[in-house]
Amino acid sequence: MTSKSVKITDIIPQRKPFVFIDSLLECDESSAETSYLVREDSIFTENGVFQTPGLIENIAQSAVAKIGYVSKFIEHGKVTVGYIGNVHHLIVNRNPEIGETIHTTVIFGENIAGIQLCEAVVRVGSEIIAQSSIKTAQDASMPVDD
Amino acid sequence: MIKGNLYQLTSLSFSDAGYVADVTLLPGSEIYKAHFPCKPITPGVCLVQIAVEIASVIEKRNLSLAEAKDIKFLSIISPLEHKSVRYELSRMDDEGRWVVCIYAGGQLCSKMSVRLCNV
Repeated sequence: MTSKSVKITDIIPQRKPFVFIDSLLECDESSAETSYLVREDSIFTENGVFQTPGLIENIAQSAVAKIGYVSKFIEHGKVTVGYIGNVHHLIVNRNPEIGETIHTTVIFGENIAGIQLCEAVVRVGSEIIAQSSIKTAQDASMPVDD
Repeated sequence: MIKGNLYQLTSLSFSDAGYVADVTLLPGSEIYKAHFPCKPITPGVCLVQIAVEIASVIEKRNLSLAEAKDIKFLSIISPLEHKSVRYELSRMDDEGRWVVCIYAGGQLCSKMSVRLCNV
């Protein structure tokens, strides 16, 4: 399934100015790819570069976008609030600059008791700029209104 | 920098155990309106950013997060329940490794082992 035409705020619970993905480019059962243009007015842009906490949030929202896409458009349910539980082995080779578009690929691993493990790679073009493992949890008691 | 937007640094002290910083969260921040509209919750990545900003104050230079061996978020921090958050920061070596524990209402909410570098 590809999902280029989906509005991002339809599939993630965050709202501007705390949205750090622009598009869900690809999405299947076990992976997702998103893009994000680094902007000057972003909360996490400082001294011309996108700071690492912004990269972590970009990774988390990439995972949440896939989960939200499946909930909304495959299962016809609601998008729910999700949290980061754990960030593991994050390595940042460099922080992307204003005007650069980052592409984030998230590969979904095991899901134990609602905790979803993901492996993420962030690229600018073919250059890998950051990698991390992340665990996210969804809170089904907090659906997001349309 | 999210100081002044999401939080204020209210105190910073140093003891044998390391640095202790108290921050006051600002519930009116635009970040809380966006995360999330249904209920304000302090974004985990903002807890990380605050740690980097406090370490920058301690070191008197701008630092950036280069690596994270592990960052655990154990419980959520709502600014409606806990405005005051305590950071305990320990510098582990001269290569930028820090361990940071974050407490709200006396409870450990987050623990991180990170490496910071010069911007």
